[in-house]
This record gives sequence, C-alpha cells and structure tokens, in this order.
Amino acid sequence: MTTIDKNFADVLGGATGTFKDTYAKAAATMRKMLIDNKVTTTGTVDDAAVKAVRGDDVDVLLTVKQDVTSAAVKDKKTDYVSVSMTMRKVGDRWLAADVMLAGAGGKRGN
Amino acid sequence: MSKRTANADVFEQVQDTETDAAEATDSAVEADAEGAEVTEADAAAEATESAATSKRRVGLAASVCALLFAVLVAALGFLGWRQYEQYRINAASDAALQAAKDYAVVLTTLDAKNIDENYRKSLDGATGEFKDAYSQGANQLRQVLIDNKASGTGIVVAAAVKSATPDKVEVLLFVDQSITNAVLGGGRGDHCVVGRGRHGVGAGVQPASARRRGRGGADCGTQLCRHPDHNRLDHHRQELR
Repeated sequence: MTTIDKNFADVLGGATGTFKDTYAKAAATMRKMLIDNKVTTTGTVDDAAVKAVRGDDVDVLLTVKQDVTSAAVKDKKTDYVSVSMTMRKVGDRWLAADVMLAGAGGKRGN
Repeated sequence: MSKRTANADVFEQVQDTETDAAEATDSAVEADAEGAEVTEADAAAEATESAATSKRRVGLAASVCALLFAVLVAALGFLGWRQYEQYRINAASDAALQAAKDYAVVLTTLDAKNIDENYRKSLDGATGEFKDAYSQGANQLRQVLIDNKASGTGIVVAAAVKSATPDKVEVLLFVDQSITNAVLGGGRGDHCVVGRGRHGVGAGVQPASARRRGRGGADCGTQLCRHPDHNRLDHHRQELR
C-alpha cells in the first residue's frame, strides 16, 4: 500500500456518517491531484476545545498547524487551519462524523 | 459431728444430739445466710457488670453515631462545596465565553478614523500581560493604520471554552475578519484564530492573553489584533460579582 493510500485508509478508518461518505467520494480526485503535485503535508494540533456535547455527538473546535510542500512550493509553507469537528461515539470509538474547515483553508467567503 | 465414740453416755449423747441439732440448724442457717449472701453478692456483681456493659454499649453506639454523623456532615459539605464550585465554574464559563466573543469583535473591528477610541475600548476589556503587550503594539501600529486608512470588521464564527476555573477561562475562537486599506481597497477576507481569552474575578471579564493565528502561518501576535470598537463588558462583570 502506498503512503497516500494508507493516509486515506487512516482517514476513513476514523470517520463515520456523512463525512465518511463525502471523503470517500472526494478521495479519488484528491489522490490524483496530490500525487501529480507531489504534495506532502504534516498536521499538528495547536489548540482544541469542546464546543458542545449533544448526546453521543461532541462538537470540537481545533486549530491545526499544517506544513505543506508541493512541486510548486518547495519551501515549507505553514498554515493554521481552523477545524470544526463533530465526533460521534460508535461502539467504543469516537469517529469524525463531520469536519468543516474554516478560514486558512479558504473555505470561507473571501 | 454426728459421729461419737461408743463409750459416751446417753445424756452426753442426748445433749450432743441436741447440740448437734442446734449446731446443725445454726450451721444450716449460716450456710443459708452465706448462700444468700453469695447469691446477693453475685447478683449485685452481675448487675454492676451488666450495667457497665450496657453503659459501654451505649457509649460505643453514641460514638459510632457521632462518627457517622460527622462523616455524613463532611460528605454533604464536600458535595455541597463541589456543587457550588461547579456552579461557579459553569457561571464563569458562560460569562467568559460571551465576554470573549464580544471582545474578539472589539479586537478585530477597527477604523483608522476612530483609532484612539478603538484602542481605548480594547485596553478597557484587557488585563494582565495581554494588556501590556497590546499597549506596546498599539503604539507601534497606530500611525501605520492611519497612514493606510485601514479598517477591519470581525465576526466570531465559532467559540468554545477550552478550560475553566472560577476566575480563569480559556476560550478558543474562530474569527473572520474583513479588512480594507488604501492598498487593498475593497474588503479582503481574513480568518484569524484568537485564542485564550481569560478573565480574572474582580478585574471583570477581561482577556489576560490573546494570540492570533493568521493565514500564512506566522503567529501574528497581539500587535495585529489591534482594534476595538466595543462595548464595555459591564454586564459580564456584574454577573461575576
């Protein structure tokens, strides 16, 4: 298994619900794009806080420091990504049921 | 006593018999008396002993009751204290979360035309090391903002309490800030993460530290979290008192 496929497997392994479906669908397109551009990223959680607890769902806010290199950008580029995540307890594991990126990822209206 | 030698005369025998009888009676009476005394003494001793035992039992029961009562009181006191502490923490969390949301807007909303008022409000809602750092940064940045006709508007898109004690609460906030300046012209969206709003009781709900993470990755530091435009946090202060 290549590194990228293991990465995808890890993401899907920790996911559930709509996020898992969305990610699985996007993975094929993403995979090609990432390989073509020789993208590598490393993420570190900088900060995290529980926003709300709703039954088996827990909303978490995280700021993630992400270092990115690619064919185009040889020098490491660092972003702080704001992530809003809904974790859900499935069996004895907490899985990501929803993941939203805010801000630095460019997902919010510029 | 009833045994006599064979050579004793009748009189003696009779007398002896009488004496014997009397003696026997006497000794019987004595024996009886002794028996009675012994029984009485035993009974008295037993009574004393059982009284002492039951007294000891009562004493022990009282001690156990007192101990249980003390433990109960202590447990109730502890639970009550914990409940109260939790109540204070929850109240602090709610008040600080709201104050942090309001203050994040103060910090990220500014207009160069109104910069001194913006600064005043920012400093008013700050305390501790953050207040010092902000003061320094603000002075350095003031002229740059004016020269560039900078303005910014912040909106809190998400906020959560990271940790809380009755007098210190850490809040994580996601803030969208649109900025304009002489170079950029129109609004440009910027997303910043403002971390760690804190407040101290007595000082009111005031951030003691704030960090900003911006696009491009650098820790922008407090000098970029410049502006205010904001209401005093009086109602939060009142809540905390």
